[in-house]
Amino acid sequence: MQIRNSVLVTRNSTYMKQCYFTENHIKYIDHKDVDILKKFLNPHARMVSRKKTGVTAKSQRNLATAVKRARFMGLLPFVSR
Amino acid sequence: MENQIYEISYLLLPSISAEQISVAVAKLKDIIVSQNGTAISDENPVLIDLAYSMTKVVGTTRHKTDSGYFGWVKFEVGAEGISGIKKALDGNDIILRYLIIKTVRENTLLHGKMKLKSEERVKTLPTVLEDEVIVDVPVPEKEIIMEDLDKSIDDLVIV
Repeated sequence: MQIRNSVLVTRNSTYMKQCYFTENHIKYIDHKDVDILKKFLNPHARMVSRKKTGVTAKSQRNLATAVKRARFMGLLPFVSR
Repeated sequence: MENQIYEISYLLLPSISAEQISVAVAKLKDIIVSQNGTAISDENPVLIDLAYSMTKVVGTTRHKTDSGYFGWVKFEVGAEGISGIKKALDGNDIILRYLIIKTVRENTLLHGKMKLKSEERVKTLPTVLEDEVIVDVPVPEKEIIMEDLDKSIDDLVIV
């Protein structure tokens, strides 16, 4: 069950979910970095919500832009399966 | 007016030869220089499989392709120059698709150089625990009483 955006509370433990980009000091999300972008896509090639990934709102906006650019260039699919 | 950093990602048609690729890259750089731009960094086109099929109409022929040569170039140019570059790219028949974006001068590609901090943590956690286990487990030390020792020695000695 989720209490706040960045804090997950399970039955036995409470732990902080941290933003991948903040944690790794990534200021600019490149649309050519397909391997990183794929971490935030589900099997249908849709973006995973920040509720599940713990990505900050700012990074999620930048991520969305990068994913859209990668899709346009044929690096990522628009739909899959 | 101040210069802005731009990046052009492009896809070339897979039907072109290796010589044509180098010519196309050189032509693109010439276009940038002709608009008073300076190239910062680039990557030569490599053949990639596209995530979906694309079409490019050249004259009366329609090229449908599932692969393409993907390359990019980062450069600095004024706001007036970028429109000239865009016009030149529109007229290029071997470019399947291109994307012009505003970016930053620093290298933005990571390409697996970076390690996930969480992964590092997972890797280091067991070793730390092992060390702690070794350090923290109290080893019971038996006090040696000299009298007991003498007795045991006496028992062992055969008279």
